[in-house]
Amino acid sequence: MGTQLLGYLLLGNVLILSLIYIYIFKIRKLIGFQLGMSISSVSGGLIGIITGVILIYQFPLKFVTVTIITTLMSMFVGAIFGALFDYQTLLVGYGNGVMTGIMAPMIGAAAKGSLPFLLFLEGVFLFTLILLIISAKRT
Amino acid sequence: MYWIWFFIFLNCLVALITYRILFRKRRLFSERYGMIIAMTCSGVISLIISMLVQFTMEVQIATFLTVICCVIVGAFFGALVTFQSILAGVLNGIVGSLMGNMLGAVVKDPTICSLPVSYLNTVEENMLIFGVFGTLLTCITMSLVYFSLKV
Repeated sequence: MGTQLLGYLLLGNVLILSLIYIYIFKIRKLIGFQLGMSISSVSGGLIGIITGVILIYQFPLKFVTVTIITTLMSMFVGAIFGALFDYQTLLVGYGNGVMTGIMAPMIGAAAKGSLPFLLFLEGVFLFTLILLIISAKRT
Repeated sequence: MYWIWFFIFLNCLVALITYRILFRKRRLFSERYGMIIAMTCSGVISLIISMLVQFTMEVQIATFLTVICCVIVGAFFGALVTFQSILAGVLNGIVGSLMGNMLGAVVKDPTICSLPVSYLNTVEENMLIFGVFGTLLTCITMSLVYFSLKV
């Protein structure tokens, strides 16, 4: 499998997530804090898992750096999704992002670079994002 | 290897200071705020402390000790406001301590996760980097929680 392809996959995921961020930013007044907590924890956790697995597939010799970058990224994403609503949802997204980001590169290293596992994770990611949009639209 | 005990002491000190500040102002909180404090604080603190304890002992003993300790820490943070948020604190304590034990075991013996063998030369260096990073993470989290008292 080409290394370039995995990098484009990660870029595509980040782009999809930023489009959803813009969409939720427009309707953020309509969403209550209960759904806000769910949205911030789900988005931080999912982008943490995807980033960790793809980066450890690409650079298996740099475990420490990959763990630190993944943790920082999923912390940041959870925090900015939570900051749309409230300060307390920011704390929820931050805590979930820390735990998931630390765990994700270990999963990727234990999977030994298998392609079906990555496809399964992508399927889970897209399915959860569709659920997120539906639940944000119907409130 | 004695610097690990210094990191453990530092993390416990930060956790105690935060608990003391929160305990003084516990009459001001709402129930939702208490639940969120229990989730975030117990998760991050138990993650970092169990990772550091895992560096010093054997795998089974450290797992046994840290899971019991982190359940107690989560219950203390959960019981600040009402008794309803004890469950959230205990759950996050268990999850965080199991995950920290996993990370510590992988850093100590990289062949568990089928990482390359060249990591065995730099185990101490990786331990030092993860210790510094974990202590920074605890400090950032506690400053966020302290800042949320004023918002």
